[in-house]
Amino acid sequence: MKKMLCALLAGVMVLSSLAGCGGSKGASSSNDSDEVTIAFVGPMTGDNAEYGQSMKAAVQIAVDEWNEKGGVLGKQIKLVDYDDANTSEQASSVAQKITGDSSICAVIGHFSSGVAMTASEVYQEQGIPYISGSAAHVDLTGIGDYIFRNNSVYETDANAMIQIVDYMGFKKIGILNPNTDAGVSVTNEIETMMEEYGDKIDAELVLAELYEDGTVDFSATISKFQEAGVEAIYSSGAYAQTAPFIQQYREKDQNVQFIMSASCFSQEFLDLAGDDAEGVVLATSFFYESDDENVQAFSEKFKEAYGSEPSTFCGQVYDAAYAIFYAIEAGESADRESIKDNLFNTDFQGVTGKITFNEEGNCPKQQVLLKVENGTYVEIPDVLLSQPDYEAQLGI
Amino acid sequence: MILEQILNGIMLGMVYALIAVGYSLVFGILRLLNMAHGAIYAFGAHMALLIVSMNFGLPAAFVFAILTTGILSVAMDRIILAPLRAKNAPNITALISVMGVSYIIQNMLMIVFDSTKKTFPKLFDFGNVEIFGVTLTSTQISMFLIALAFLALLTFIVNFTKVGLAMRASRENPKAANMMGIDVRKIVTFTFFISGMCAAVAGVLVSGYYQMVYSTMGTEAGLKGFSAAVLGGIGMLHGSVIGGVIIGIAESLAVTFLGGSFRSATAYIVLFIVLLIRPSGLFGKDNVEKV
Amino acid sequence: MGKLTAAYDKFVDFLLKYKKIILPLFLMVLVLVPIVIPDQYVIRVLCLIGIYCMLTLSLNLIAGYMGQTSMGHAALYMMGAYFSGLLGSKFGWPFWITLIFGIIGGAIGGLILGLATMKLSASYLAVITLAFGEVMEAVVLNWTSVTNGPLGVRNIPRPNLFGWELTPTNGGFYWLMLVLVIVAVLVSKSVVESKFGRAVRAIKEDELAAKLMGVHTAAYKVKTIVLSGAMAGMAGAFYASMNRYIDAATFSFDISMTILCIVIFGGLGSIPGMIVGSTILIAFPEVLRSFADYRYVVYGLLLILMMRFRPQGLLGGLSRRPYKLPAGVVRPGEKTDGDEGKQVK
Repeated sequence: MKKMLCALLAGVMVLSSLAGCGGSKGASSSNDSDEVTIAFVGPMTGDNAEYGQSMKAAVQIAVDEWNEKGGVLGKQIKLVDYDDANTSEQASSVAQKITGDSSICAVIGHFSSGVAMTASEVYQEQGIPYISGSAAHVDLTGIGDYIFRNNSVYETDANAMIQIVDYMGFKKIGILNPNTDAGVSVTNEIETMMEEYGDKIDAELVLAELYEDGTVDFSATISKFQEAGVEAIYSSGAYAQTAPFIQQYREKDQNVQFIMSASCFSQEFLDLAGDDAEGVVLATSFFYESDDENVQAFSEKFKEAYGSEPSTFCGQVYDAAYAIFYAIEAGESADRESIKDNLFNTDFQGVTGKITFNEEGNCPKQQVLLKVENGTYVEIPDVLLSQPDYEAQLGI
Repeated sequence: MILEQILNGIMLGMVYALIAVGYSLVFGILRLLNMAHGAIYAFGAHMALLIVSMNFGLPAAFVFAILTTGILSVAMDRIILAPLRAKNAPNITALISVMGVSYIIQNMLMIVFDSTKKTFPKLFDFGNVEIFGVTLTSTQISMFLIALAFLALLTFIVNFTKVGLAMRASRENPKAANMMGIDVRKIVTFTFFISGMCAAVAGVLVSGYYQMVYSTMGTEAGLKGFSAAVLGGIGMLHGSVIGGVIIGIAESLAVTFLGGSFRSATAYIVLFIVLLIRPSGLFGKDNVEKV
Repeated sequence: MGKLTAAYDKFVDFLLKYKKIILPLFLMVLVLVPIVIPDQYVIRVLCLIGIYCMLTLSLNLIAGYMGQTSMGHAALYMMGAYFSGLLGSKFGWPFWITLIFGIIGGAIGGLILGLATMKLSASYLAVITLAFGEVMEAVVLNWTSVTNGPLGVRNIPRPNLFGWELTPTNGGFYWLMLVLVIVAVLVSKSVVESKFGRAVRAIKEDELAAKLMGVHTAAYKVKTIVLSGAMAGMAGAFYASMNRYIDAATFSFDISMTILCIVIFGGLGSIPGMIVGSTILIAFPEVLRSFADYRYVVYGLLLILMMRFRPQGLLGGLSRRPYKLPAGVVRPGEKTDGDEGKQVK
């Protein structure tokens, strides 16, 4: 009995401390405060901390730029960051914490799709606009009208891959994707698209493989690809898996062509894959050496703040922050609902292309083709078209 | 194709075997599943990376990694496990303590070295070799040979040297060994040093093989190595090697016939089945726990 | 120091004296929380604590009373979540029915585990549960036609009580959590105090002796693991409905380890220990977010220090409690105090 009472006591203590930290904020309504607050959530600790920290640095740059110009609606912008350790469990608590803080008007972030999905349920239920810069799950924006995404959807990735293959003239294609929501969706989409285009393109999908997230030994998979005689291999996996895959493949075969996704557009990928990265091509919506002034300015600042070139995800969350600020200006209010309504009318040229959200909440992305040459990315201009344009060209 | 995949599996199996012997050595003497071994292995790899990144070269890195990791392993025993043994605490307390150690090491690595995957130099490069019409890369072959040599050395130490005899005696009956004039404490310390050394050797070899070092590298590899050790009959060195190879081949064949997303599951199902048929592993003796 | 402990003892004595008033009062306070503190975040963290109470009470049956370790407890949790989530999402069944199926799902997982480990000793149970966890994750990821694979399960229905939809916002989930935790506590209590519980603890103390005394050890082991699975399944069903989206990555090895840590911390075999442990270890990272980096380092240190200086955990040591004698039998040298004797704790 004594113990039971101790238990109850401990409960009371924790309850009061929680209540203390929950209740300290609150009452300040967003409209009459002298600041506009937005939140960034991401893995700041744990084994994906690199993503959370780099994306946060990018959002911070966007905030600083606006504050230099005088903020939004004459108020300074404040960025608060939260850690979800890339786990669904923590993400849902953090999401609840954010929505409960009435001074926060919009949210950017979360890294993995599953984590973003869990948190989005809370954001939608409580009505706070949320923009993801990295999640690829098909159903993310379908959760509701408060959920937006500034990341290419898997159809765009799949279409870009087909265009690259078509452009480079490969016939036998292999796919190696992680067994995650993004990997499976892209694989399925490529399969359907290839079937749909049929004879219009020469390429043929000979082998589609999945691997467990976290795999480092690909010898058995490589033997399978060699057996199937593929000329080019597409992978949408993270750099931590694609780099060893490329290295292990290169040891056995110098000629195969690797086609990657935006996940491999990062300095870490080049460092890890080393010489074997030469010749790899990939499609991304953001290229830090593009001629665009805004992009150059952003890359410069990012390098100064974070110490490396910005990745695609960084560019996308940077634009997401801009989209929110524009929406606040357009609605002349930092009210959550007003921001959501005005996000649908977003239209500006960001570092990751033209930012507009369609009725689903997705931002159609125009991608550029990059190739690794002498240890850096080089743009191959005018290859990738948008999906409708490409299909028109094929005559579909 | 199948031959090639089996060879791939054997090469991968050697990676697991290298990690598995570390578990076996400690279990052999203390009947303890050293769950921190995976983290210690990652620690070894990071120590080597530290020296390599300072441009002292691979041999220096190798020596440094072996020493520091061995010391870490011994320190873990002396500071954390020895007091528990002195108290005659139940086995589960030691198991949970080493899990705690594993948490600390892995997360300290993550904090100190951050979460990015870092590149590690390739160990050997002399072109590809063709065996029975199957192309094997130089890294695969050198990895295999070094692992084999190292495992042979360990087997020699345990089976044919005085220290090895003392280790085996302590394993069979610590009390009797003590009465025969063997300092069991010293033997335990020595075993932990060897086990840490194994972890470091495995860490350096595997990092060179995959050319990559990262803080969570010990989790997956540790679990597989652990399974390999259990599969072969934990406490038995040759069992660990064969267990590792079986798991390697099982994974390789799973990728071939079922697809890459079934590899770990297949490895664990093999472990499951073996344990159901032979509860103490393939080569294990039946007296695993006092009943 | 001495003064402090004396004051604490006095305080506890006071609580004990009026426990018949204080306990219901405290329960009432707990029930009133969503009305008094309308902060959603606090409510959600409390719900999470509730989930961990169920999970640790579940693992406590295996680890605390039977003395065996499970390193794949998240798999049972996951089975409960998937059984209930899938039935709710695909067929639109109401939560109350899917909850039952979630419990059954967890129990099935427990049955598989139990049968597989019936003849194995304690160290190997750890291995098997670990393997079981990995295999179950692979099943969920690869059996796409049923589980929707890595895309996860969406649109899991919320419970509906006579037309009133329970959500985390209106406090409904919180009250549901209280009810489920109370159920878990009552089940654990009745297990400990039954013949079943004594048999299980006998297995922990000395399996061979228990066997010789005529305890059918294998059957008891399996039954305990099934019961434990059912309880974890209940937590899973609750989680699925609360978050409305589940995927395999949620139920990772880390969750298994967290559950184990809490059980050890709270005290093997102690029911209040599970509640205190869950409250402290789940709430602290939320309160001290700035320590997030060192969270697992602190966990690790906690485990080591606990094992070294207080292996029975915060509130453990239950197994050393003297055997409760049937009513009327007096232990020699013990004064008869009617009220004390009847105490459950």
